[in-house]
Amino acid sequence: MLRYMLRRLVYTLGTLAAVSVVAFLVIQLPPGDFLTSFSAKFAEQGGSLDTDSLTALKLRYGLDQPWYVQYWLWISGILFRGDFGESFEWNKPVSELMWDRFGLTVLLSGITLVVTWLVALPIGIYSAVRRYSWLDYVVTFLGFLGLAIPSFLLALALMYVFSRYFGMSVSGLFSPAYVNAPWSLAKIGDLAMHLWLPVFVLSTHGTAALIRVMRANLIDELYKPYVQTARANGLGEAELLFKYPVRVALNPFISTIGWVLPNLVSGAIVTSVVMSLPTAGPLLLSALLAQDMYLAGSFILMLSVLTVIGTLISDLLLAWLDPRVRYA
Amino acid sequence: MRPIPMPEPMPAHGTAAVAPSPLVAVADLKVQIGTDDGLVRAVDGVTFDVPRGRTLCIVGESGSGKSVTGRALMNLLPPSGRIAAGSILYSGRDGEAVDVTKLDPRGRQIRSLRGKEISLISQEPMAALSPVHTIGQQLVPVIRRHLGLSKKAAQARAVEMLGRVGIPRPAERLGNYPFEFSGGMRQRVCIALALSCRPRLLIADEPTTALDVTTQANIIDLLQELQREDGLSILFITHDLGVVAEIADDVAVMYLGKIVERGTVEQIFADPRHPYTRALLKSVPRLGAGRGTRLAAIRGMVPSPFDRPKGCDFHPRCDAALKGICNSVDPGTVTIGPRRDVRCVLAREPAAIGGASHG
Amino acid sequence: MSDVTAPTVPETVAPAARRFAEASQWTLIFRRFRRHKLAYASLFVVLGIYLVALLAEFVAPFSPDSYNARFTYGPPQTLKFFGTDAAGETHFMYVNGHRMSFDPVALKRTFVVDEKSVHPVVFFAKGEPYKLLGLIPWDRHLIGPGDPSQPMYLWGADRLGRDVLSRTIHGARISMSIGLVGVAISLFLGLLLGGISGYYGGWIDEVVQRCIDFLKSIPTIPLWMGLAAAVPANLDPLLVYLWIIIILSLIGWTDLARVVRGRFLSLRTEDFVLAARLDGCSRQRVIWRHMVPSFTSHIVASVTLAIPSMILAETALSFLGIGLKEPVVSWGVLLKDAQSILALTTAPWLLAPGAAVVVAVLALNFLGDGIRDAADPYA
Repeated sequence: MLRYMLRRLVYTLGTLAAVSVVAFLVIQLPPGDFLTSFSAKFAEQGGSLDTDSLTALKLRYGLDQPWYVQYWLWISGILFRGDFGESFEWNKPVSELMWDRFGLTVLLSGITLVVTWLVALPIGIYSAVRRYSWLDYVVTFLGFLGLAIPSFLLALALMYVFSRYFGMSVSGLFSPAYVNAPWSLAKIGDLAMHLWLPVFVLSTHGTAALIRVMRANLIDELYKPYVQTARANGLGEAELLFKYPVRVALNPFISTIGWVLPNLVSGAIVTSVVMSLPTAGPLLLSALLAQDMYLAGSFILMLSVLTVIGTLISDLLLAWLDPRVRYA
Repeated sequence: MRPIPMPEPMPAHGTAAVAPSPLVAVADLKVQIGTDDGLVRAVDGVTFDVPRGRTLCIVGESGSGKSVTGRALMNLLPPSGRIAAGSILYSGRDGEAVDVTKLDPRGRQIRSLRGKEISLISQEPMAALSPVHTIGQQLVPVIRRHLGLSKKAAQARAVEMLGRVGIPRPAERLGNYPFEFSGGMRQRVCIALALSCRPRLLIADEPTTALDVTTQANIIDLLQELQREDGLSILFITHDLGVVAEIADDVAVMYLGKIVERGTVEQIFADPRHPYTRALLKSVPRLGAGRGTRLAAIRGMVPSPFDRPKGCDFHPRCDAALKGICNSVDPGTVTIGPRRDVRCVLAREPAAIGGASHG
Repeated sequence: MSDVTAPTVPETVAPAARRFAEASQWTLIFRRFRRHKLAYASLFVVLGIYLVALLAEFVAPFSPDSYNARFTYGPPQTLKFFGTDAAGETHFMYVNGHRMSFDPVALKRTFVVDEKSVHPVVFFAKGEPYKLLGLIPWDRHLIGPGDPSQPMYLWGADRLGRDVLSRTIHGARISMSIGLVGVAISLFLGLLLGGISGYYGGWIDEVVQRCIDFLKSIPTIPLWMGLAAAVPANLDPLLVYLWIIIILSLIGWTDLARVVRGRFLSLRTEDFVLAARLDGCSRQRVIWRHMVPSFTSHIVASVTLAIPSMILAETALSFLGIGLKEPVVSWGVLLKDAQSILALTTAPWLLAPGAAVVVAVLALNFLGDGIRDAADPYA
């Protein structure tokens, strides 16, 4: 177990390093260095940068140095000082802008993941055990539909329905009164009231996918000899189902976190833009459109870190549950 | 090792005397299995007994219905299968006979038989145990359920059983997972699981097929030893005639869902009456056979169950088939002695077949 | 030698079974596939969508750019049958005209259906000239208003008074082709890297697998967004199109590579591959003549299932405004118009291209699933 954990940890660290390089690459991709666009923007606004602050910035980001020095300056700032760089669009440090939104993204993704599981698991089990029943067909069809509707389209459609027929605006995560209020119980309550629709929209795709996974896994297990053995030992059907095949089918189900979480985070970005949620999505989009690269790069980095760590957790969970993984 | 107390005195192994009432009496059993292409008559009217304390071998090629027959004894068919006709009378400990076919396959009554009175070990020891539970987690609940023991006593019983089937350091290995055992050891665990509640009938469905030859021999020795100690009846399903010769007291040969020949092991090997039995025996390699002799194979293939030949099922592949008879008339079961049946029109004429099948 | 080892089916086997045993792999797959009613129907839906995309100029009543400022956010007109116009002439198909009024308070234009005005709709209507398949000059459209000067908005009009139906039909060309081209590139990468990984094994396999793990563990949309945002805004639309496809394929190849590798690994140990090797076939020959054909059916299934995710990805990127942009017409670009709740409440029909996305993705998923189930003919 310890060896397995260590190996996973090493892999994760490697992946994190690779992720940071990719995020840095994204920062570097736009043509010209960002100082040019920065001073151009400054000039647009009527001001101009004096050469002193220009050289200071150049020094800080090592702009006249090779890329790996720039990368080191950037990543060491993040690792040792929590300094993600400067947002030129907002004239603020990235870390000031990012954490609130990132926290809400984690919250939204986490709740959605839990809901996805709670819904997909029983439906998947039912669908497998009562294969070819009419409810199985309904579930299967809805599953296909859930996979085919992009989450932003679902969000748009729901927003239209709510505003047209109920006169409700369902965008955002807070009522106007609470947007800028400090955190309080009332604000949390308000958040909960607003959260269910984004969670519904975001969980549709994952739920549809996971029902299919659970159904297929369980159908594979249901006819395995060990189930027959348990039956031959006089176990009742319900007891047998949950003790053996469901338990075994749960393992591949857990490992789906590895791809459900990245998908979820991706979907959350687009959906947040549509529903104007104060999560990472809209800010990332505006940062990318304005070529505010340190802000955008930091978001890409942190969202990737989120999924990598989520995958690590699912791997460890799997090892805890499945002896074959643990001892391998 | 202390043998567990026997439920009742058993006739000594190998004697000709047969207990008056068999443990299980199967009469005209028919099992149908639904497939995408239609209903298959997997078992098509078989009649046989499983005597107390003896071993009956069911021999046949794959698809002959031998496994389905075995499972039917526990009323444990796949969801698409059902017992269409016939009876399976199991004489319980209290001497009262239960017709297994009449029980609800998911009901309490049959479940109290399964694992306690009738046990099953199957072909794939690799897959017959849950991969994510320890041996103890799989053994102990079964013992507790059927014998009503406390957790501690059940654990002790599990350790005792693992020891009896020859697993070294049984108390430690209770906490191991199946994948930590070799194939042969895993089959021993399966046997321990099957025998842990002192069943009176063990259905062994090709228990040695997936194992190498040495392990095979060990497992068979173990089964015979346990049978001697517990007075167990064994229904042994196999396609391997070598195994049959070693373990069987009685033999039933199956072909396309029917028993084509039935008799004691001596009768089957020394005086086979059905051409199919003869052909099977000839297809086994023998020590001492001349270098130039070719191993005989039965020509043709097992016909599709949807496309049964008219008349005798075996006639298209039979060397002794009689034109005008075998391809038009179903031979029916011919009883040529006590517990000695042959499904062949030539059953009473050993010479006729003997001559025809030479070469 | 060959006639001795060739597998022969014994005479006793029934004709039906004989046909089964001797049927070619593709015949068997197709036979199984046809039993999947939904997948079989989806095949025709998919072919239909691609045909429409190919002949978009002919199928669409109008070009995607023709506009009529009078009909800004004009609602859909219902296609009706057998109506008599003012001149007393009866038409098989027609639409009612709209009367417009301007609400000075809400500053909104309202459209009221005018039951009296009957505008005939005809097949093979004369309309704007175009070149079919870029070659044949023509001016007929599959369906269109009998009088080319009259408007016909079966799916309503957008902000500039352009026909949403025509734009959706033209959008099919970009959106559906992105799926195809993107999957082609992914397939190339997947075959190459998955094949290398599965065939050679060892450390090469390890490296490729780590790369796949890595690419799969990062959320795709943010990465795509980052990469797509770096595509210069003033680039030629065709180049943007290519860039977007390449960016999508950068992630898309991983799934295909997994499939290819898995098949390679299991095939490597199969007897017929070993036999081919022992016969002294070259490595190239073993791969291309013996291994690849035996898993094409699985590849076809995976490819079919990969197309919809490409389509969805393009739609999402363009919807956000960092993928394709006007004047290119794709379903994502069209849906971008529906982004604001204001536009949506005024003109909910702007979501119509979304229906096209859902139908296309649904059909491709059903099709891919059917092929995958049919791909194991002996299972």
